Amino acid sequence: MTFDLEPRGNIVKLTVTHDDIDEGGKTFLGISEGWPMVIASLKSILETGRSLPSDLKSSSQKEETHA
Amino acid sequence: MPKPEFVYVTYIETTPEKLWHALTDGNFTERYWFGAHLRSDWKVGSSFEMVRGDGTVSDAGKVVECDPPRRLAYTFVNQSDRYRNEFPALATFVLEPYGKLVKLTLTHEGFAEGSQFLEGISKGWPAILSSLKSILETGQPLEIPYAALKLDS
Repeated sequence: MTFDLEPRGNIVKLTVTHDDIDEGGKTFLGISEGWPMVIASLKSILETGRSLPSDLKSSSQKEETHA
Repeated sequence: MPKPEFVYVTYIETTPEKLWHALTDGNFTERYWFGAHLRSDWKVGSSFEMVRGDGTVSDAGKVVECDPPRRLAYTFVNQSDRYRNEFPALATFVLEPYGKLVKLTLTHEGFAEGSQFLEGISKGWPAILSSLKSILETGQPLEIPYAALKLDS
């Protein structure tokens, strides 16, 4: 997988590419839920000094029970 | 071949009510959406417009769904010569609260194969939604230069 960082003035554009995985497979479904959480929390901790609250975890668990 | 659609998921430390306001109040959208003032009465079937600072309409469509503070859907297409003849695809926002967070899922779908507008919105949405998260969590939007979107490349 690849992290691409491009500076734009006071901002950095981060592009995460995770490829070579089977679309619709377990890994694909898992990382499709996981990456948005991790990246959203990364953005928060860099901008506010605080990561997102652990309510993220309950979000993940809730979705697993739906799956 | 992947479906011609755009999906974006993020998590914001806010409430569904504040996020709904941020998505539907034109004075607020101006602050984080490249200056765009969203104009609509948000009734299903009503017009939806993005209005620039000079009063001209950059994008136009219709409200398809409005269920505050849970689901909002509207169609739109950019009114420039480059895109205006494209079918106005459907953008749906789903807001799900999880404790102190809201999971925001945007699905933009219904594009024709090879849509140029899909390429454009795929560059625009990450910047807009990233700025939305910042303004709700820090009080300050991101100041992303429009040129950074590289819409012409």
